[in-house]
Amino acid sequence: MGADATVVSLSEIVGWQQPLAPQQLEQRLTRFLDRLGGTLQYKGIIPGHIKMVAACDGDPERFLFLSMTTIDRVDRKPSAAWSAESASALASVRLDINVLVFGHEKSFVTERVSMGIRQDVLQKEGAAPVNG
Amino acid sequence: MKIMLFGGFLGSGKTTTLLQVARYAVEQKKWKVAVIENEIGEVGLDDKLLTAGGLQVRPLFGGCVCCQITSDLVTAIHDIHQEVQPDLLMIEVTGLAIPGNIVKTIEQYCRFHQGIKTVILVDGSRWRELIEILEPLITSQVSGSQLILLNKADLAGAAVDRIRGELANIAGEAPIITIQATACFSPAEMEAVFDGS
Repeated sequence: MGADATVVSLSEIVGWQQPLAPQQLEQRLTRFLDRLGGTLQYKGIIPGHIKMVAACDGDPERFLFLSMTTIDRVDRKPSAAWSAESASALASVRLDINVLVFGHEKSFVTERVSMGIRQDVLQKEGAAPVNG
Repeated sequence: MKIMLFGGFLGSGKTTTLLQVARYAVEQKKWKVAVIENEIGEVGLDDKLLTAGGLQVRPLFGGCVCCQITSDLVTAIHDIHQEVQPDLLMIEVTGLAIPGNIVKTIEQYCRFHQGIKTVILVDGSRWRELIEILEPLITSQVSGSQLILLNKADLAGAAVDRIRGELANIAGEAPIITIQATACFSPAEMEAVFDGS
């Protein structure tokens, strides 16, 4: 395994024609992390850290923080505003993602992150599988 | 101004622990606390959690303060010392930093402090794999610390005792406390963090 960590950071506003319920978005983000983690894992652990924040576009106090260090385990830390029962559907969110990982080329990680957002978060047709 | 440095590998629980310790310092000890948050990614994420927790945070993004943006750290410490005058400055370094290098920098350029304590978080659930593939980095982070918090012990299972033994071989006399950073620290655990501060 290489001595230097690969660092990939991405900030992007993503939106949907049909607004998503917060729980629906969380399922998509979890799916994204599960599949990305699956490609970066070594013996079931992430040799690094995958972190992301999804913040309501226009309301940065309403955010969901997700992270992964072990496959099949996504840690979630929602802000108080995110957890509120009255939380409305989301037409768009700002995604901030940091992937820090050993053992993978930056181009590979960047490609997998971009493809995962397209396939798992936006769920656009025609996207190639993240794994494989 | 006392300084508490939180180090440890990526995802070991530094931010979660810092947040809990900072709250205790503010609410129980009635200390004025300032936080420097260093992330190696180009976007800051952890500072959102700390800010949402009611802390004033000075973020340093885009590099590691132990080897890439060292002067930014020194400037931030000087600024906070002069402008905020906290009782305690808490610094969370990146998961790739070697805290011993940062302590040397602070000792050289920020001599006005009243003591530095280095607290290292260790992820018990990934110890075996990380020490297998990244031993030089992991051992460099652990050695020279004043306190080791063995986190995610619930996920490490029966390996906890073996991990504690291996940590003791690396860290020497530093106390090792088994914790779950996502749970509330016991009074004894919290006092161990502040012991000597």
